[in-house]
This record gives sequence, structure tokens and C-alpha cells, in this order.
Amino acid sequence: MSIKCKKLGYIYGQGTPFEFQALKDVDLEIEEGSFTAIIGQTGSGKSTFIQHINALLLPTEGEIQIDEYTISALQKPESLKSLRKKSGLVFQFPEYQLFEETIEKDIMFGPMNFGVEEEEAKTIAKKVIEMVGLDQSYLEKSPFDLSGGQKRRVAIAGILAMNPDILVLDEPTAGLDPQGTKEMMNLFKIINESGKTVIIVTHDMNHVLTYCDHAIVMNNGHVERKGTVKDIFQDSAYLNQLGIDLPLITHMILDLNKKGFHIDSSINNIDDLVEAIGGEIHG
Amino acid sequence: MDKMIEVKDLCFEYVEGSQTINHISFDIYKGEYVTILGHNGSGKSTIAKLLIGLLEKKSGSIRIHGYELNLENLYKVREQVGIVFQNPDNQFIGATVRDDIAFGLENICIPREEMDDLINTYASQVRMDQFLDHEPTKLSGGQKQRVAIAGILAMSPSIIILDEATSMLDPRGRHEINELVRDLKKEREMTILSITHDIEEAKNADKIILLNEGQIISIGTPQEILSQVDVLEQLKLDIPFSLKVSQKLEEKGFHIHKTLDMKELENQLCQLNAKN
Ligand SMILES: Nc1ncnc2c1ncn2[C@@H]1O[C@H](COP(=O)(O)OP(=O)(O)OP(=O)(O)O)[C@@H](O)[C@H]1O
Ligand SMILES: Nc1ncnc2c1ncn2[C@@H]1O[C@H](COP(=O)(O)OP(=O)(O)OP(=O)(O)O)[C@@H](O)[C@H]1O
Ligand SMILES: [Mg+2]
Ligand SMILES: [Mg+2]
Repeated sequence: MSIKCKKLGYIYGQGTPFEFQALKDVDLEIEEGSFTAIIGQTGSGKSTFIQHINALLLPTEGEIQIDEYTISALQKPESLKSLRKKSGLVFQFPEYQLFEETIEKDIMFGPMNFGVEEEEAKTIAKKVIEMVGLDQSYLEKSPFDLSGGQKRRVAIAGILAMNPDILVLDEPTAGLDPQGTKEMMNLFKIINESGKTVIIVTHDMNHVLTYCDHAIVMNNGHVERKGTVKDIFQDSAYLNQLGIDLPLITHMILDLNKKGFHIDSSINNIDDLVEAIGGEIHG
Repeated sequence: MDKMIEVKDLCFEYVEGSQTINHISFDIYKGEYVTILGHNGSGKSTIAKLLIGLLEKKSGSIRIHGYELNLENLYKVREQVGIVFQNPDNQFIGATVRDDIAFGLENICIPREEMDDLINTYASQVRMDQFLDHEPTKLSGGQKQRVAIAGILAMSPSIIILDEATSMLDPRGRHEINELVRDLKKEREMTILSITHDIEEAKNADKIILLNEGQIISIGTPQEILSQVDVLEQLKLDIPFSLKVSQKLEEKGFHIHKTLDMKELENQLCQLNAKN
């Protein structure tokens, strides 16, 4: 289930005086089973791009291929339902994803829309609400009477309930407390390890380093770089110029190496970092 | 010193018996930068809404710059407090970014001829000057947050409440806005109440209020609060990276002075390295 884009472009308000080209000439491939991060400055086109992966936006130029589906500016598919079952998107603002009167109904909506029976959808709702760190008592509540982080969790639960092959997440940890962030990232990792493709937009480079294998750098509507996470973080001068911080771990390693340490700069977790530092001071 | 925010024994519930805010008290002085840390649903945004009179308290008292917050004083209080909401879409009114910022300025009776200057100044400070004619709701997530912040800063309120106002900004944007806010605090003695989940950001506060299930657990300096490793973990929070590394090194038997300051930690490590 790879995703391929050829000369993909998107213009908001095409043909109006307000038209705005948000994506241009995007050529790339996202491999099946990868955990890919999309990074880049505010307004670089990340959200616009990923909304093409479940056809919430249809290209105004070029094409995107998702498995057997080809969507192009010229050829719009007749039905998008089965594509939307395959590829689930959690929005940047969870508010826009919540609409039912109870959280249970909200979560059940997706699965039932794709033909799951009511009873089974209820069972799924019970399971996924706990996966996102809320207890079952929340199911009866209104999704609007929640805190920001709780809304985010419910929006994530709603997509998990559909068990998509491609999980697309737009800043899924913005607004989550530190423990929620860690639990959710671990959950996405487990989902990825079960064979699913996970695509995440994030400004947190620590997450990219620790959880993702590939990264795509967007700038001004273009894909500027793509590669393994290791490769992307090797070029700190480039990232700095884009205003992207290095992960705290990488940053610390580069600092220490400037002062006489020799630590492998591709280390991606704190335990390995501490191990490496310890090894050197022991001598 | 002037007390800008004075909260005494405040209680609030959305649903009867739920005690969302449970007997909290705290003071914030003029020119202070205070951060509230707490898990999802602990009551942070509720406190912010109570402070601007958007929600009505059940009991206790709130004073803003000396004024008791009640119906009579509501307008006086709102004049002093600017808030950036967790979801910026909840605060846009204007059809364009320019109008949106102008609307706030009109409200506080800034003369027309001063407006353009203010709008341009603050829009460029948040790097949104190229977007003045765009519709606020048709911006990217980070752009919306930038505009929401510019709109509040332009009004120069004496107190600013930031409810996760930079949660969707790119790293540089986040540093820039934080710096901007710190400058305002210094230059104009603005009082800042910032709600965030970013522990690294909380290190820069004068004071941290630690909230758990609607109750204040403790109030103190970053050094005091952020070094309580077990407490923070129990409250579903995190400790700063430099502390995490120093703690893990200590567990391995190294003599490390635990610090919130990355540079200081690195210097210690270099000294240890040099001894070998
Ligand atoms: N509905 C819309 N109508 C017109 N322009 C839009 C619309 N949505 C986004 N844009 C513009 O398209 C560009 C790309 O926006 P997008 O939301 O894809 O950015 P992003 O990379 O996700 O940014 P962020 O990190 O801030 O979320 C921005 O300049 C934005 O102003
Ligand atoms: N309109 C509402 N009706 C009923 N309960 C609500 C409402 N809004 C919030 N709550 C509940 O009140 C509690 C506190 O919510 P609040 O929004 O203050 O949390 P918060 O600390 O800001 O959390 P977050 O970090 O997720 O933004 C939560 O348990 C939430 O579910
Ligand atoms: Mg976005
Ligand atoms: Mg909140």
C-alpha cells in the first residue's frame, strides 16, 4: 500500500481572486509499513498535503496514487468511501472532527458508516476510548464538554475505531499532557509495527527521532528533502536555516562532540545517550 | 508590589457535584511570568475562563488589579486582560487578518490613524504581515495561532493569558513568540499567565502553579517545582531533558549536580571527561 505523488499540486480557491497555491510539484513515495514524519515551517503545506491522502482535498494539479486508487486533477474517482476506509486522518483541530451528541456515537460513526453492526461498533468504542487514556464513563458524555486534550484523544479514538491501513495524524500530540503524548506515540508505534503505514505531521523533532523511520521536509509548498530520519538530522545547518530545532538528544551530542566527546550522532533514545556519555567519562 | 491577579478559595463546577475547580488560591504580581502545568482535564482552561468572567464561579473570589470580578466590574476587568484561547478559531471575528486585529483595537478605542501602524507592527512581529488580507479561518494552524497572538499583543493589555497559544507553532516560531512575550513583560511590566504542556518552556517562568484534578498541588520557582521528579511523574507530567539525563547518569554512579540548565550539564560532563 504505497503512496505515490506525481507533480501533485493544490490551489485553494482556484479561479477566484483569492486563489493560493499551497502545494506545487510534489513528487514522492511513502512506503508501505513506514512511519513517516512530515516536518516544515508554519504554512509550508503539510496539512494541505496529507489531506490528499484520504481525498479530503483533491489535487488541482498532478496526481496521487494510493494503492489501486489514482486521483488526479483530471480524473476524480466516483466513490471515495473505500479509500476513506483504508486511510484515516486525524485533523489538526480535533473540534472539526467531533459532531455527534455523545462520544460513543461519535466513535461508532466511522465503523458503522463502513458497515460494522451496531453491537460490534459499541464494543469497538469501549476498546478505543481506553486506548487513548480515557475511561468508559466518557462514552456517555458530549464531545463538546471536554478539555482540549480530551477532545484530541476522542478524535484519535474515532479514527482508531476504523482500523485504517494508513493512519494519517496531523499534530496528534499538540495539547496532550506529557504522559498522554508518550502513550499516544507508543500506541502509534505499536500500530506501525503491526504492519500499518503511519504518517505524522509534527513540530516535535524529539518524536521524529525516537519514533519515525523516514522524514519529509516541506518548505513553501514543495517537498525539499526526503530520506531516513538519520540522514535528515545529519544536516543540522540545513535544518537550522529552516528554523527547525534538532532533537534535544542530537543537539546535546553535537554540543558534546564539539568539546571533545565522540558520541554517535545517530543515537535516538535517552538510554543509549546516557550509556554513551557514561562510556566516555569512564574512559 | 501590585497584585494583578488575586484568587481566593475559588470553586467551580460544570455539572453539579463535579468540583472542576476545587478551592484554589493564588496571587500573581505585576510583571510576573507564571505558568500553569497540569494534566489534560486538570482545569487549566477553566481557570483562564473564570479569570476573564467567561464562566461564573461557584464560590470564592477573584480580583483583577484590585477590582473584584463581578458583573459591575466585568468591563473594567476585560479591558485589562487579553486572552489567547486554546483553539484560535474561537476568537476570530474579522473577515481578514487586518480587520480582525483592528476589531480588537476599535474595542479599546484606539484612534484610526494609530491602528494601521499597530496592525503592521504586530503582524510583522509574528511574521504574518504577508497575510493581512487573508481570511483568518483559512490559514494554517500555526498561522492562526500567530494571528491570534498578534491581535492580543496589539491591544497591550496589562495581563495576558496564553492558553497553549504556541502549541502548533514550528520550533523557531515558538522561540520567537516566547521571546516577544518576555520582552513585553520586561519593557512594559506586562503580567503573563501561560498555560502549557511544554516543560522546557516552563523552565523560563518566574513561578509555576502545579495543578491536579482541579486542585493546586504546589506553587514555586521552576527550580523548586521541576526537580520534584516523582511528583511530576505521578501527575502525568514530565521533567526537563537536562534533569532526565543528569538523573540517569547519577543512577549509573556518576557525581552529577542535577540541573535544569543544559549548558551547565554539558560543562559538568566536559570536566568529568577532562579528568580521564
Ligand atoms: N482553506 C484555505 N484557503 C486558502 N488558503 C489556505 C487554506 N488553508 C490553508 N491555506 C494556505 O495554504 C498554505 C499551507 O497551509 P497548510 O495548512 O497546509 O500549512 P501547514 O504546513 O500545515 O502549517 P502549520 O504547521 O501551521 O499547520 C498556508 O499559507 C495557508 O495560509
Ligand atoms: N463545557 C463543559 N461541560 C462539562 N465539563 C467540561 C466542560 N468543559 C470542560 N469540562 C471538563 O472540566 C474539566 C477541566 O477542563 P479544562 O478544559 O479546564 O481542562 P484543561 O486543564 O484545560 O485540559 P487540557 O490540557 O486538556 O486543555 C475536564 O475534565 C473537562 O472534561
Ligand atoms: Mg497544519
Ligand atoms: Mg485546556
